[in-house]
Amino acid sequence: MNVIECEGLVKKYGSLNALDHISFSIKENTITGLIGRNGAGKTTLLKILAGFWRETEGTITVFDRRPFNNLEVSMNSIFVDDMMSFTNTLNLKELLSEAQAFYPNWDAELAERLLGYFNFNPRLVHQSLSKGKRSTFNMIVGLAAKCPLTIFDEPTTGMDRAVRKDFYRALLKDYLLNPRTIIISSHHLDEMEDILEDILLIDEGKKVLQLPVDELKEYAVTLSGRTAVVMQTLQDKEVIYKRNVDIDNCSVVVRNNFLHGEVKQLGINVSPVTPSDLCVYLTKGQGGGIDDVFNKSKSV
Amino acid sequence: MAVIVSLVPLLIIIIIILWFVTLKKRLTRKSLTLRQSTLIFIVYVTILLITTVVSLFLPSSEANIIEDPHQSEEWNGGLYMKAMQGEFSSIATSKISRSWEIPYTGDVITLASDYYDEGILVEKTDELNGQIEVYYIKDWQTLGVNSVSMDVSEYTPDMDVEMTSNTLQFVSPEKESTIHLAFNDLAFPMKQLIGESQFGNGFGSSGSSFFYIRVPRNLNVEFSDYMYIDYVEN
Amino acid sequence: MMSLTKVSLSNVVVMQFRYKLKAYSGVFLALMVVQMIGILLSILGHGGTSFSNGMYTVDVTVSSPDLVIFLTMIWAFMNAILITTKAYREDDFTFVSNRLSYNLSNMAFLLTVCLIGTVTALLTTGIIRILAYVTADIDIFLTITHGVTIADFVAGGLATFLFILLAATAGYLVGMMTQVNKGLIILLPVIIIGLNYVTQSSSNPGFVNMLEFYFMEHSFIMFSIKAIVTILIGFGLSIVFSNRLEVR
Repeated sequence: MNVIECEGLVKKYGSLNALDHISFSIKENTITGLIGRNGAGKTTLLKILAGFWRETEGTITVFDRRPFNNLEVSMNSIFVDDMMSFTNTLNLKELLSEAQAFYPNWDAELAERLLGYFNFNPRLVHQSLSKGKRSTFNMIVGLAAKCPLTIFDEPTTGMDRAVRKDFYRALLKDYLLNPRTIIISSHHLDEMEDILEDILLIDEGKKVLQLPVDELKEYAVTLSGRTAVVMQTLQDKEVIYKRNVDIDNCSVVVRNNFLHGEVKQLGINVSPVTPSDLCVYLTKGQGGGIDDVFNKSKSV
Repeated sequence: MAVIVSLVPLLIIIIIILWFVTLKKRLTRKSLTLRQSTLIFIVYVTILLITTVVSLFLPSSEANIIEDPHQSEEWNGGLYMKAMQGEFSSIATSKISRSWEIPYTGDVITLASDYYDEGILVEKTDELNGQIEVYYIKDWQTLGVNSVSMDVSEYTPDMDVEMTSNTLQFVSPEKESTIHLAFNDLAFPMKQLIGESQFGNGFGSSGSSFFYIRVPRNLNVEFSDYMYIDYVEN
Repeated sequence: MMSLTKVSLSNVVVMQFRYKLKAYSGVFLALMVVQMIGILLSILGHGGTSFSNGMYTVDVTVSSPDLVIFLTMIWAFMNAILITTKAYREDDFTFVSNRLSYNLSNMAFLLTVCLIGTVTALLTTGIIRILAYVTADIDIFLTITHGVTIADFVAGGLATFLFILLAATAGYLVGMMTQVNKGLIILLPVIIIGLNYVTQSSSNPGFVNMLEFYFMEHSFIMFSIKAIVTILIGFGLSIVFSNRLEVR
């Protein structure tokens, strides 16, 4: 069963298409990573999913309902980001008990234990927390709410590495105990690829690919070797990204849909590409990376 | 000075509005906790309740509101006209604020006063012999307060009379006195529903009080030109 | 799998309302400050009349809770604007909400705080009396009680509540319009001038007629109908305006 169905979704800001005819679906009880570069439209997409923003065109359904202004969708989903706003007349402990009133599946014990584990002073107010602490608290709310659809938009902003690792572990453990549909958008794909099942990669408002992580790991390989040899083999291959091209040696990222044996015989080194790197390559556009900005004289 | 004072509330209202507007972002940026503010507010309400109860025990008297000053005959010099037409006996005794009975056997009496510039009515009667009767009648003294007019005559000082040989002197109180009244008006929505006007002022201050003097018929009454004296028609 | 939770609008509204009473508790402190300023001003600048005829001077100082009620109306207006602002709205949409429940819980909240504001505003009568009595050298202390029945007081209290609620409605509508589209602010003077034009009569400019429409209505029933209809229209328009509002 699909929790989210999205068909030709467009979100316009003036003449700019923040989302440009994007179509995808997300199955129930999966953890999906929403990956994309800054400004790719991740937050826009998630806010439309949560019912906060209105789509311009296309159809989107969450639990078979149009999310905008839908109370049932709001009840069964939670949107966690670093901008979550809590009143400062209530302290953290009181906030958690308020949240409990709203969410029927609220796990008060989990919230309490996480609050203790991350060394929160329950008498503080949300606004007085540091950025990382705030994100951690928001994450606790998101986990404890146990909503059938849980959305994390850059949940790890400001968290240090140790807390991030704890967060991913907590998320995975809780997910195994209480399976639900979770979407996480993040820059730190390499850190969380172990917990993700699917990846939805978007760029400039369009879907680039949506694949299980396992398939994504096999999706592409890097061919590196002598330039002349590599270039020859490229003719029947789907080139994703060329890097380190010079006269003698080069390495090129290509779709992994050929037999490796014949290439290896030519003395070309075939190495896997991590999903994290692959996502960067897939969204970089043609013409290399930041290096080119500084290498004015040299063109590819 | 009065203008400045009247502008102060307006000024403060503007300041409050600006204060709200500048705090628009979040009124409670560094606010008190729920418990503290609840406590403070409960204290405030308690003080209001206590003072409300206490205020009920303040010594107070009922304001004499004139309902419809322009149409009632009574407020248009009614008593004076009545008395002038010989109906002095029909005037309620509550309106007679002071009275004097003075033995007098002379043929001529002179009326004199210092500041008194209101009416004097003289009745010549057969009923009296060897004495004159003086009544000070206070009819009304209205004062426009906000949108209402009230009768404050009962709080104003009375005139006195002094008899020296053949002169009856009307004497004002020894020194000019000030009567301080405090008036608790109703809140405007209540006045509105009772039917009082919200805007505009109550009609201005004016009053009616006069001396009524009964003298034997054969007594000659003399007075200076600047006094307003009428004779009762009988 | 996790089953979807069925929701009823009224449940969510009640939850949001209860949350707001706690989250927006600052408005009660603001109410207190505003009313205390009103009390002070009532004592300092109380209106009065005096009359002098050379023999005596009658000096009347008047105290009434009018200024406090007026300031409470301004407070209601500003608060209603305040709770439509982004910061306050985001508090709501952190938890379960849609625009209808958000509006309805706001209205329940405004209704409640206006009721509390009305009660405290009317209760300031006592402290104003006492302060007027204590601060000035008073010979006689006059009150009106004759001819004013309990029913009059109740009706007056309700009318005060409706006046304060009218101010809150106006604020809420203005606030919501500006949240939906800043351009609507420009519309406001147009609307006001338009209304002024429509309601003007040969004797009065329109705004006087509009004020008289509410402030000169002596019948409680008529006043209530006018006020309640206005409030319903105002809140109804706010719901319509905000129904397409994007949040967070």
